[in-house]
Amino acid sequence: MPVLLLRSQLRFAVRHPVGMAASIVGVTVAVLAVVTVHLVGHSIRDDLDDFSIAGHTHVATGETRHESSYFELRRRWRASHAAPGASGSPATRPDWTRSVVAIFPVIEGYLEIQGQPRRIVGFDPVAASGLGGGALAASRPGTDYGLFMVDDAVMVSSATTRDIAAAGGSIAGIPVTVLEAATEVILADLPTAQRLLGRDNEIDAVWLRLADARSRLLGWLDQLLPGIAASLPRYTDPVIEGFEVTAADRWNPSRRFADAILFNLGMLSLLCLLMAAFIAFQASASNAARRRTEHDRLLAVGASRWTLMWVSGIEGLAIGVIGALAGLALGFVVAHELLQAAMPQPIPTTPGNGPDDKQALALDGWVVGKALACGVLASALGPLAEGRFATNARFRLGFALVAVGIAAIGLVDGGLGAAYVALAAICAAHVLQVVPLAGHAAGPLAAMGRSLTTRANLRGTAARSREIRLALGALSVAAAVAIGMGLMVESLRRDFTEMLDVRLARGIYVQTASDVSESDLDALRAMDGVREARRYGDVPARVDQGPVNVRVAELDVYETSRYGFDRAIGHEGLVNEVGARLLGIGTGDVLDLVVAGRTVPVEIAHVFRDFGAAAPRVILPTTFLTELDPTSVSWRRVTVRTNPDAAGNLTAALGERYGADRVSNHDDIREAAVAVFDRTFVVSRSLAAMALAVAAIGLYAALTSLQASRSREFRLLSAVGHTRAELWRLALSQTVVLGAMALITALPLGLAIAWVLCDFVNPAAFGWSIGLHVDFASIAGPLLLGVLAACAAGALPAYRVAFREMP
Amino acid sequence: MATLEVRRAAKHFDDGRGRRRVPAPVEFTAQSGRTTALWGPSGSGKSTLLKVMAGILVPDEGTVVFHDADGDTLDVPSASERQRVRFRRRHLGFIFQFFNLVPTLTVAENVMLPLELNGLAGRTDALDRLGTLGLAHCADRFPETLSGGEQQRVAIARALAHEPAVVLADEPTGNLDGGNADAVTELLWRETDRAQCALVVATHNQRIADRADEVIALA
Repeated sequence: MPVLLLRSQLRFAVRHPVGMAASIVGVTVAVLAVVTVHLVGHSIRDDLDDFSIAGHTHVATGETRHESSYFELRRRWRASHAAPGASGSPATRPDWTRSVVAIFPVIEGYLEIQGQPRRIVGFDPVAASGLGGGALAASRPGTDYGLFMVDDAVMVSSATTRDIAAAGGSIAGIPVTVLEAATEVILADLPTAQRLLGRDNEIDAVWLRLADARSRLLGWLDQLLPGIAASLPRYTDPVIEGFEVTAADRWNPSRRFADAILFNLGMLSLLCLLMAAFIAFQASASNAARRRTEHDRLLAVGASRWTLMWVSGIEGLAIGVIGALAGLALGFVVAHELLQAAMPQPIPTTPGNGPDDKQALALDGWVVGKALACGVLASALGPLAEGRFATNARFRLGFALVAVGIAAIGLVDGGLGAAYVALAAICAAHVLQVVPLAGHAAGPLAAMGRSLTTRANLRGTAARSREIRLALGALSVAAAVAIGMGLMVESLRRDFTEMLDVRLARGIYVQTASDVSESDLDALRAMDGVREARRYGDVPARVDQGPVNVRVAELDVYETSRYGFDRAIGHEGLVNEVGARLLGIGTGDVLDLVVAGRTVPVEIAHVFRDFGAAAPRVILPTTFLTELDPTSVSWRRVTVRTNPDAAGNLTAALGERYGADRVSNHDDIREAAVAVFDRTFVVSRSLAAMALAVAAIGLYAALTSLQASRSREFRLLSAVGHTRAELWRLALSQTVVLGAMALITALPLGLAIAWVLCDFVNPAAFGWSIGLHVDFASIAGPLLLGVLAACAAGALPAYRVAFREMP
Repeated sequence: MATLEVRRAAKHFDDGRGRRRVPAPVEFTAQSGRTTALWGPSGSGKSTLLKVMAGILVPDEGTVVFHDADGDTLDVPSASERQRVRFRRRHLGFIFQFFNLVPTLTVAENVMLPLELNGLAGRTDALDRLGTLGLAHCADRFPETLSGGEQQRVAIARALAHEPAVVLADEPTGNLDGGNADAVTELLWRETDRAQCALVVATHNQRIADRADEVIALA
């Protein structure tokens, strides 16, 4: 490696500190974005990744509910792991035994504690650890299932602990040892749970933990692009003779809702990674462009392009390392601040995932590797690509047409992968064709210029848009993605509000300690300011596939409208989406509920959206009370609708009557829930803004070299009598026109992205579509940010060429 | 004896009225110890022809053939990029109208650069060369601190540092005043004669053309 060339390269860097600083800052911001997305994405996933006892991934249901079915399954599994010749050699080993690393029996049901039905999950903690599949403590941090070694031990929340203590330390008349933990259900070892439920030797299912090649591959993908794998099926579902096997998260739609959030963060991480690669490329390309004259001289002296490329690559390496380290440190800080702003409190989940086991942010090998790879590779490889990308107009046109074709096929196909490809293709076509075309539009506009200088400036703008098409394209795509994400988030927010309608009846909500009778209800209705009072009953029920939540209520038009239904219901039922899907039923079908050993057929009138519901849920009108065992219905939920000015006084009065901790104002809760939702999406909005900032820095790098190339032109204009301020305005106006062209084209792309995300990607990934709602703020915000970014990116280069470089 | 033969080598350009051949077809041979002037008005293709001869541009027609002192031959246009770089690095010296010194290297380092690229000894030879040209005192200064005449003398020193077979000079005095132009011309002729290399000068200056052993007129 010629020392003199390296020395020359180093001196050039020292002599152009602003350009070098821009390159380093660009890489820093790019790495910062990647690191932030990684840390935030993983932290949110850790918080939302609920309901996985010992990391179970699948549920196997046998033909009988006797625990012997579990022992039979376990025998088959262990036999397949035995030495060849014992029973079953590797050649004849069933496929499922290769991927299953732990199997354990589970029993579920409801127990009444202080008059409240509580869900209990009993399992075998020793079997759940697998044959070497890792300690349980590691699978659920903060929860030590080893404590179940104590006889008749149950693991419960602090609130349930108090209730058990109030009940004399026993459940269903059986004394228990209480272990307090962060869990919303009661956890117990299998024999204890069987005894408490009065179902000796019974189980409901066998839970499995899988670790196959696909899950490992997706785990790596998830490390590379956090959240991007959330939408993909993680396992190849095993086929086990004599058992029906379903993925655990099918019974846990809240996980799917969390996945939806993670997936959208994943899309942002992909955007940030692309932006990072772009900005590093742009920094290197601009750097190389600034050195073109010098490189031409070196080429004439006999230096080869390869040698110059190597020298530039070494400089890129240095820029990449410095930028990556700075980005890593800043990303850690930004991620921490974002999480504090978005989620100051851990998200309560079940089981064993409480405040104590909230994951601390940590810079693991993956994030450090990604930061270095992103910064160093893109910076070092930038000079290799400089001047070689998309310079051929026919190539660009052909590529854009192919991209549009791919996008069309992808959208028609409807698959998730195809939808991703369609999104990428639309963005590629936009950068390669739409943005340059918009830049050319400045040419015809030149005729409208009042002065010759303005005309020349506009014509120059049209010509120069070609030189910085990548920078403009990146700005445009960043703004478009921000618009698309914003629209999707706003639309998701509307769905969320609809979910609150379903979950939270309006008014004051009271959870009573004892059943509320009709006469109690009449007394409530007689209170001052009360417009209406309703009570809701809970019934523990089952279907063949497992437990079902059943609620009994007066299903008049007001009540059914909460569930998106438009008429009162006489003797039919409502079922949520999860229940309909899992139980394989729909409107008009009959569902056989088993309540207190009695089968109750229910015709389904409507399937309602129940976002994030954890289990099948059925709503029954009070006309079913005659068929249900009346003693099995617990009437302990009441809502009271009031006149607006009476809410405060009534809340206090109800508090005095039932206890303050049992009364809550659902309207306040709704507001708080929406606030939490908004805080959560502060993260995505911040990341989108960050992507715009990255694009602005890339644009700055491009504009610096662009304006530098105008110095000769400006010297001429200066010589014929233009002031420096006029030159600055000329240079800045060119930037603004270029930025405006990029942003105008961002609007249709943003709408297209939102449409694809809401109507194609989300349905393919999560099974529900989001009704696209176009709102002004989601569009205007990113565009305004984009304009500011373009102006900020152009102001300094324009100032330098007009004030610093003019004689 | 090394020679560089030009056989009707030209580039094609579209000037809006049709395809134009630049320069007009010419044939000549630059030989060691002789000077050749490419003489013609602006736009006649002098610089283009020099770049074609150096292998920086590949001609659309004709060819350029280099025979070195050992009898090896290189057809420059058909050679690979790597071969052309090696040919330029080893056998050519280039002098430009605007000097084209590398601004981030000192005067001595600029002269050392072709030596280093050829894997030859460096600083002592460069200082000797600068001393010969009366530039030893500014060896550690950067090019922008020198006058135009001094910069062009450094460019001559750099072009001759690795003892090339052919020196190509593109309007070497075009950016200098009369006195400096004469001094640089004198220096260029003297040093190339001392090194016994072929000198090809592109110029529109009649006085410089008159000093050449052969004048190739480009219309």
